[in-house]
Amino acid sequence: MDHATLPIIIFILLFSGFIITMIMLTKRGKEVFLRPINGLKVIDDAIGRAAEEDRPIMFNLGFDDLSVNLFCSLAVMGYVVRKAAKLSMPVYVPLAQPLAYAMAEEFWKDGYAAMGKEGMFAVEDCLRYMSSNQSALGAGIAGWIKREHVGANFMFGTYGFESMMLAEAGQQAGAFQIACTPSFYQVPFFMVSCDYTVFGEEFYAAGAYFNRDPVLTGSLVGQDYSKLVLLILIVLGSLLLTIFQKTDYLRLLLQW
Amino acid sequence: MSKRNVLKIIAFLVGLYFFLEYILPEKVGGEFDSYEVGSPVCVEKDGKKLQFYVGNYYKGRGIIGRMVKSSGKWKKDQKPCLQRSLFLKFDQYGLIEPDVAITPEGLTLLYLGQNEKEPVLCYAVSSDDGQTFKKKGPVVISTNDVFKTFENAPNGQIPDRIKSFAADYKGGSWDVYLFTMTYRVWHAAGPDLKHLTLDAQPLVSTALLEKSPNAFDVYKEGDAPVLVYVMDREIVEFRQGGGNWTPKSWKAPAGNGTNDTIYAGGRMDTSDGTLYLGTKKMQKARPIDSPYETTLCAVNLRDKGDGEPLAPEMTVYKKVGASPRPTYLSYGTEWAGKFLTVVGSFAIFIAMINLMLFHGKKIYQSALNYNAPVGEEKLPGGGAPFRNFLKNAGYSAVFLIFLAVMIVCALKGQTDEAKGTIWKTSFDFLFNAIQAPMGSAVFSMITFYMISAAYRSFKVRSLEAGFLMAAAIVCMVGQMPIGELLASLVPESWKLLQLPWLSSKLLSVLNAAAYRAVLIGTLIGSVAISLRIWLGLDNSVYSSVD
Repeated sequence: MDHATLPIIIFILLFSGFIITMIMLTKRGKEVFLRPINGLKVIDDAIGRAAEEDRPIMFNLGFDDLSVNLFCSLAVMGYVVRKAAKLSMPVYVPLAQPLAYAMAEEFWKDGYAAMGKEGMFAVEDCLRYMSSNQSALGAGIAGWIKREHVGANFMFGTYGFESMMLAEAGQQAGAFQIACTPSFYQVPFFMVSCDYTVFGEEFYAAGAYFNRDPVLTGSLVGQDYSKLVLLILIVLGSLLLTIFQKTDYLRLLLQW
Repeated sequence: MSKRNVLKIIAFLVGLYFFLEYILPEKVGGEFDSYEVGSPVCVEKDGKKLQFYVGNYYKGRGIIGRMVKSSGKWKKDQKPCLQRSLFLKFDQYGLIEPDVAITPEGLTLLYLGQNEKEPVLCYAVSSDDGQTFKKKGPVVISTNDVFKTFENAPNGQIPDRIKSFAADYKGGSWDVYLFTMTYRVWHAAGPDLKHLTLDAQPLVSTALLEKSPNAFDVYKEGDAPVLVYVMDREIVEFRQGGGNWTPKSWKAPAGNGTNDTIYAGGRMDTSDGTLYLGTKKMQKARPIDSPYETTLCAVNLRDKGDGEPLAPEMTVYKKVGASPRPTYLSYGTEWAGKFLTVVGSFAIFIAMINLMLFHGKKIYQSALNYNAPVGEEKLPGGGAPFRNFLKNAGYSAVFLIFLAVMIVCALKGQTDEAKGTIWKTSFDFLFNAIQAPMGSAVFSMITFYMISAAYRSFKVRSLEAGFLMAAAIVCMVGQMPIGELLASLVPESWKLLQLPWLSSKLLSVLNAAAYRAVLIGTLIGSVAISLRIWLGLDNSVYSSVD
């Protein structure tokens, strides 16, 4: 394991300070503005459309093992499952990681139980561990989407090359597709095949979007302040480095 | 206390542990050379013999340690004399290959600093016989401007990557010999280490040995340099005569460390001609990632005559390596890793039994219903027994058959004796002729998906879509041979019209800038959510626990 250098420690403490301060402020009632994210706003529409067409919903959790990305995806999955349970619809969850299976199963059961619909669908029919091999995972999910004629396909989490297979299978099945991923290199594939694509930091904001919990919204504002600090440092650093090219001490400091 | 709060407290404590391990300085205690030792170098100062060596406390993390000879025995200092710097870029990843010289300032220790780029030749000065050193930064060769060359590596301008070096200080002048990755040896000289001048031509321009030596040093006979190469257990000296380098080699005698592979070091103590070596004991059955037994030993080269064996060697310091641990807290991380491995192994075993039971049950139930009479639809489509069986338990049967075949082939075919047997051949066949091509076939399907997606999406419906289309065409054509051909028709000064140049700028400037912006946002987002989970602020994670 690599160890933190002094600048890293300073930045960790600074960013943590921003985030915790903003969480405390929003808990005390400070109003914050969350910019609308279209891809997340239409999740209810996607579920509604699938219900109207009487087609099942699929929620992909990507390749994430037990990690923050998985928790982000699970938070949204919980929301989708509760909504689907309200409409008595099945939510299929294909999984690539054994540990993620156990977590997803709890969230899935919890979602149906919250709406009083526990036992309506069998867990082994709806949650399937596919494979941690990307090719097998892609082929397995693509087949599942087409066989079940999925009406809404959500792809949250980290993806590799299988993203294209999943998104195109959904597209061919005529599903309403929403992708939300921190995997930058898969964004173009999702863009061309999905109805809505959310990427980058907005993936981490997804959980906060559905319940305006002050903790989540406060942390989003804290993130924005952290980015502002970084932006100022980048601009300032570029300018100083350009102006004082000949001054060794300043260059040393900036390069550090 | 509710179950949720207990979990939050456990998560906080585990998170705190790993957080502290990350931010605490490395090596808060323990031996700095616990993992392995190597690259010894010796010097005699004021009648006192001093030896400096690289001690690794973690795989690949070098720290310089010191030993002093008193009453015929080498005694190791408890603390290292020179460590890697977390705040300067030259030697962030460790120090290797030290060499030492006596100078008016005291002792000057040169070393190769490892960093994220090229290794950099750096130096440090000590006025207390090497108990502590003060870093002076990189050695500057052929330039007076420290920051003139790329990043912080002023000797990165050597026309090759430095692999090893030897330095000598005599009569107010430095001679530095640089052994590079292409087996060439360069010579640089100057009054101090910030003002060295590189010779126009390399001292040795071709490889003197077929393989790269494990250790390299140079000493002088009069004014003529003698190059010492050490390979495996062979020590070769090269002397220049008539434009050629003539070799003379000796085998290091067996015993006391030199019967092991010589892997690092090879510095001469010129006062008595002893060559100090770092050796590594190769074990046939060695657990993965466990360290070797390493030794520092000495061979006296001056006592040799032609063809005679070398003088008896001695073991200076032996280290039976311990597992790499950067900090005290790493014990816990290591334990957690082992715990996970054990639990994981059991989990796989249980999962396999569970899978077999699940699919076996499915096959059994389908077999029970195999002869279900027509009309009595215990299973869908009852009355077509075999088809029904296949439909309900076909995949399960295939799974169990292949599981059994793979287990048998793997158990019997993965031993050393199994080479050429049917088990090994079958195992390889199943992997190389079935699994690998199937994986490739699935992967290649993506091409068709990409074409259909691109055909659907690349329609110019708006201004933004137009820009996207234009950028796509530039990037595609710019990377094709026809792009190069078209570029050759455009004058050199009209860069903007050269598609390969434009394509590379689009990717490396515009795209990279956007990518970094997204990356910064993503990383800060992940810091925020990690913090929420760690401090137990995010209840969504614990929503299923009540």
